[in-house]
Amino acid sequence: MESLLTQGIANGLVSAGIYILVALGLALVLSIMGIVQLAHGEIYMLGGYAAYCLCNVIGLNFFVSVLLSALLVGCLGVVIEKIFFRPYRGQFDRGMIMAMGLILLLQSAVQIITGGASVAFTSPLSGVVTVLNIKIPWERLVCVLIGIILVAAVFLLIAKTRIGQAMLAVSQDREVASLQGISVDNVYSTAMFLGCALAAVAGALVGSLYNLNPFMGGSALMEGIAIIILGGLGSIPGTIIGGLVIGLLEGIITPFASASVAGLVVFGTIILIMIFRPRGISGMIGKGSKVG
Amino acid sequence: MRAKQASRLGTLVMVVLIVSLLSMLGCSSKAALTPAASSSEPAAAASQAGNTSAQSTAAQTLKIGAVYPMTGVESSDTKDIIAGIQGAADAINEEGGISVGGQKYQIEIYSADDMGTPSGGVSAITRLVYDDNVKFVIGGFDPDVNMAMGKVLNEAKVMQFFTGAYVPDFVDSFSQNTFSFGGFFAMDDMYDYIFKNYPNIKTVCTWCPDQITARANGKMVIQKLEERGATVISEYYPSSTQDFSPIISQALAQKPDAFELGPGVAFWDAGITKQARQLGFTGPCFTPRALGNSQLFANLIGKEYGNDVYLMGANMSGPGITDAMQAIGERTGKNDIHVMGFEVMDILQQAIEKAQSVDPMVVKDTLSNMSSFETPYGTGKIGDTATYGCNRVLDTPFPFSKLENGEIKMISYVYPPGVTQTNQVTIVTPIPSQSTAAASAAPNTATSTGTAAESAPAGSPIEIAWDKAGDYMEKDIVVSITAQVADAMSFAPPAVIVFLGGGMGSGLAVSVQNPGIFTGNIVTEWKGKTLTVTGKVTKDPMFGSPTMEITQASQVTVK
Repeated sequence: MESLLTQGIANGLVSAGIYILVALGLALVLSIMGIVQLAHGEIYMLGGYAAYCLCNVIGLNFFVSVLLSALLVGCLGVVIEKIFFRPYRGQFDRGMIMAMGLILLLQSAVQIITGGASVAFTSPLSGVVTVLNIKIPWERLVCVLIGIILVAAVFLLIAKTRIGQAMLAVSQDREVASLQGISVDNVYSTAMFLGCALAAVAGALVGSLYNLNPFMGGSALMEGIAIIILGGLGSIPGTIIGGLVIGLLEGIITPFASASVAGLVVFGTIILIMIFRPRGISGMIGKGSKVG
Repeated sequence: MRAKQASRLGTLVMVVLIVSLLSMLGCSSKAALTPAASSSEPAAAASQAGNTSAQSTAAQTLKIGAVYPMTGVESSDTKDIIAGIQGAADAINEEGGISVGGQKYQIEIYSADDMGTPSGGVSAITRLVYDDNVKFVIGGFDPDVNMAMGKVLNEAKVMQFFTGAYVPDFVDSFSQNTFSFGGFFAMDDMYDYIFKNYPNIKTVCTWCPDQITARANGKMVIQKLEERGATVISEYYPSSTQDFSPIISQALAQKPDAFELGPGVAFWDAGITKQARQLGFTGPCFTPRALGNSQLFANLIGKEYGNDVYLMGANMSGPGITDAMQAIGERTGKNDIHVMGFEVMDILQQAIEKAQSVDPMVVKDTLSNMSSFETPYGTGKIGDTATYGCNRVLDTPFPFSKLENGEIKMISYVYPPGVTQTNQVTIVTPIPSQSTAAASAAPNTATSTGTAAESAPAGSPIEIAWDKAGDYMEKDIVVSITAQVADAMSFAPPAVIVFLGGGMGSGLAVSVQNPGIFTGNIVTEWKGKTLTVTGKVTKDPMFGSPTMEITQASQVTVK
């Protein structure tokens, strides 16, 4: 019983690390640009395929491929922001329709290019770390470590850099920030770059755990949205706590009941929090809808 | 100004996207994604039909529908099945078409996307039946979707081949004109093999997606495993699961000895296997239903974790495949899921030609009463009514394989009970001079032939050929030579070479039990369907395969 609980906690923490990585980019884009980037799942999928091409087709090192895929997909994000979202800045409904169109566009494009088949993208890491009878595969552990590093980097970027402070300002009040001389366009591009790059890293790492297919973004988006709703829309600290809550609930409940019961508890918890604390976890801990 | 231009550009892009979306939805029940045909444009077949029509006024057209989910995760499998169906139709058309009463029928394939949902299924089948006027339908991947399509198929009297797994208790929910694929015998054969080769199995964990029809299949799996003395623990998972590790942790806490992987969907089965191995599970994992895309399954598990894993599937690039599979591979692609499409079309063609009618109800009755039919894997038959509850379940042979370091290695074909195997075992090359050979056919085996032969140089290899390659069972075949050297060592005890059929092509495990006489230079090599070795071949009678002995093969001089 005890070992099942500790293994469950370990599994939950690993899942949480992956969830946070997926949700972080979504939260960043939402908090700064004010749009729910529904195509985030497809960006995540593109990241996986880009890393696969760089690693398995071109033959680059796995980690180099993940890094390059983040850069490439981040740049694509900037292009997407300029073409698809910028003309509709402030128009929530149109932004949403654009994002839905992007889902179909990207999914179909990848399906046509790859033939639609699932692709095995294998991480070079293998083996299992066993600590106190808890088994964690290396490749998952590395995902979590990379997730922690990226979360720390995002926090540092926001807290310590000019562009981070500008992002904070824009997320609080776009017009006032603009009056202060902050280029909102640049901030949006940066936010989209970062959000897409994070999604690409998540897609590449998660793709190497499971596999790649053109529809893998759907479940990632669902998880991401659940986490940012639970965490408080757009709050990065809330996103991290939300990811931990969902990951741990799933990890702990599943071994003792079933995956279906775990899903019931997770989404039941989200609904309860929404009813009693509509601002989510960030509202409980006194952090409003802010980046930092 | 720039903002206005950008706004116009954005509007334009949005309009294009919406039009694309609408057009995709609009053609969802047509063959938008299939390589060759669509409802409005059954391209390849139509052009061939036209050409043939020009040459022969007797040529007519037979419309066949293919209904599958063409979007979503399942589409990676279904696209290849449809490619197989189209490839088979092309092959039949090239041969002139299906012959009925002196007429030749060219095939046109009309495909439709059921979107993996019951409502999508009804929409797709309605369009195929009432707009495209198909009389035969292949497909349906998901039992739940197929149940929804049953009413339309019944009313329109359309014959259907459901290519998903037969589901006990649900067969009456399908159309009364629907044939599905059974394979209970394959489960029994695989379970027997696993329990025989892993005698320490006491507890088996079965895996099942949390769906009504899958649960019905799961009940049967549990029953069959319990009949073999196993304690069964069952795990159910939501069909959207990617991360199985929490469920696997729960399963491993109950210390299972083996995993029965469940539904035969590469995506799920490979995920469970790989993640279980990562969490330290080392027992055998097996999936006794046709995987379809076996290579994908192997790739997803990977080399590191791809051992002690058993599947119903074939390596289309490896040894052991039949001539028909070879031809399909060359025509369509090296993916065994294509064979599924050819298999159904082959059966349909045989049924129509036997019925000498294209009336679907006549063809249905004819197929129900056919004693056997041929498939790319070998001879199949209509499943036993006592087993399946109706005479519309197809029992077809399966290639049974295992993963070795992530590579698919064929073990054997498994055949439906009662199907007479046509395997012929032949000694191809002459036995070396001054030797005698006797081939005997053991009870339950195919005919073996062998001759004490014409002269051949001493040391020549003896070739033994099966007419169906790959038909051997690991650890159940022993190839041995009992031979005496003619000269001074004639008093020596017989030498025995033992061949454990550990894999065709490479890695044959050969041990020489009397190395003092036979050492080195013993040729045991597969070339195509021919194993080059001398000796005695026996095989587990469970699979009813050939036995042959070559005795007293003196002068088999090996230096």
